Amino acid sequence: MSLRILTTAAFAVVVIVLPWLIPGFFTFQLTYVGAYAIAILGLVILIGNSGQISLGHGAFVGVGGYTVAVLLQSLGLSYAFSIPIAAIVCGVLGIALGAVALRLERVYLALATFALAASVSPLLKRFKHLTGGVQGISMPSPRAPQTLQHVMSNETWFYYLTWGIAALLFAIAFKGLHGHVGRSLRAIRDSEIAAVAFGVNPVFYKTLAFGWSAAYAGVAGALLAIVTAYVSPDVYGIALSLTLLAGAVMGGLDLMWGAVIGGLVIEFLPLWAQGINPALSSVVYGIAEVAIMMFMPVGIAGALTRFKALRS
Amino acid sequence: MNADGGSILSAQNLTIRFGGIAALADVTFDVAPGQITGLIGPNGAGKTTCFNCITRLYQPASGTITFNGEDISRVPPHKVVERGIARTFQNLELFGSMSVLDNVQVGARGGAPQAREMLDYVGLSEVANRPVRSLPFGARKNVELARALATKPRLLLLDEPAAGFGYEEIEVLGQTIKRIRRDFSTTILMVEHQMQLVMGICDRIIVLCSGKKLADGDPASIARNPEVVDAYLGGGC
Repeated sequence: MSLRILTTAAFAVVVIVLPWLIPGFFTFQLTYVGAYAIAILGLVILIGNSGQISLGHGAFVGVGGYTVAVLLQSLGLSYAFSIPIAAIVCGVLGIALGAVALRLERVYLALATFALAASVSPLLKRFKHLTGGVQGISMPSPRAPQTLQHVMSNETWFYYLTWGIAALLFAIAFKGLHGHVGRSLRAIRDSEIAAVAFGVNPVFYKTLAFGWSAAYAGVAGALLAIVTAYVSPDVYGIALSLTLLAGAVMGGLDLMWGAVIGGLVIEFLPLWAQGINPALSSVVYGIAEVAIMMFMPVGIAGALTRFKALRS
Repeated sequence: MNADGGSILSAQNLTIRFGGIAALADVTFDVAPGQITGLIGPNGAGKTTCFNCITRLYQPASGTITFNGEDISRVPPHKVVERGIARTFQNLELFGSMSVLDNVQVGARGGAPQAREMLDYVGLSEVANRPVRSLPFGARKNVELARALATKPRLLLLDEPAAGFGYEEIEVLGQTIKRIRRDFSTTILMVEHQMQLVMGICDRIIVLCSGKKLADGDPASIARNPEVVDAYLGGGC
């Protein structure tokens, strides 16, 4: 227990100090990692704990991104309003998808969520007046508030905002997953009939898991849109959903901090692959993914935990 | 109502069909409070189906189930445990990836302290934090028992508690079940094939055969009943 507090504190210190030690572009990349970690945490909740699969979380990232873009650009709302609204919009859509998911299992659910992922970018192109069509929506880059302007760069400020939100969402997830809610989700996953016999309402908890994870994906989408200062339909294709899922699996679906590792992997592994061989970057990326799954079938976080358990 | 002047559980004319086969056909029985009632019958008699109707996992085509004076035929399955009915499963249904303590805590009325108390009761405190799937078979059966007891049941349904047990373990199990009835003042309805156990501890026995009730009475009268003997020796019902 105290070890957990210690490592969390050490990690927090690293996150806080890092922007002062590294170049601005690296800070920018780590902001992406924070946002990806939030989206992947949503998948840890949904897939890892409630045992339902989603190949379509990129859709919620897209909806979150567009919600925030429209609210900021067309309505002139602040981050403080538009990011929570993106979370709520995606949460409600997630609950709706969760209600459909109740009737579908395993491969059928995978296919249905896959269809969702595939439908987002054509839909965004179709409703031009709201979404800007294929051109998307441009936004001004995030700017630090007046009082902080001379203390830190805009990148550093938004990095802190992203990781601050991530810390809050991780804390909520920690509280939820380690208590009654998490126990109920895992009970349904392990044996639905026993869970029901012991008072767990599967309809409620399964839908809750979908809404909760979609809300996280929505926040991630909002942050990604703001830091990129741009949303366009083709960013939110099937590839994004699959990348998030790959990040969740490689990080480790059973452990919350696997989401941070997953975020690091999906941000930096493609860049590393590019460095190895620019022409074959996706092949290198694919081979690296296969290697991770072969040698660490429970994800990187799971493998590290096992390694620690073996040593003690 | 039965002769003992009251029933905690009453099934009236239960009928349920699976694809044309009547798994239960017009089955009526009562369970008296504080008694250990055995539900026996050859394979396929409808015993577990009966349990699944009581716990609302199955919706009978017709008939009513009254528990504690309330018709529970429309109660949602996840609300049954609140009414005071808890069960164990024929093929263990534990939450495999979760710790022993977490398993018992799902449904525990009094949260973690209550769950710990029940683990203590079945002698599993030492392994409370181990993943349940790492336990041997017998211990896992006890986790199921602790999980059911932690809900403070007024009616405990045991689905083949002796399955997979040897002679001596069955002796101990019989003592345990009687001890549970005393310590928790609970009523017990038990599906069991193991006649040594059934005859040893049951106050009353209900015999099902091919979805119909064949007999109902105290162990001695059931043992003498020619129809029951015939059914068990393969003579059909």
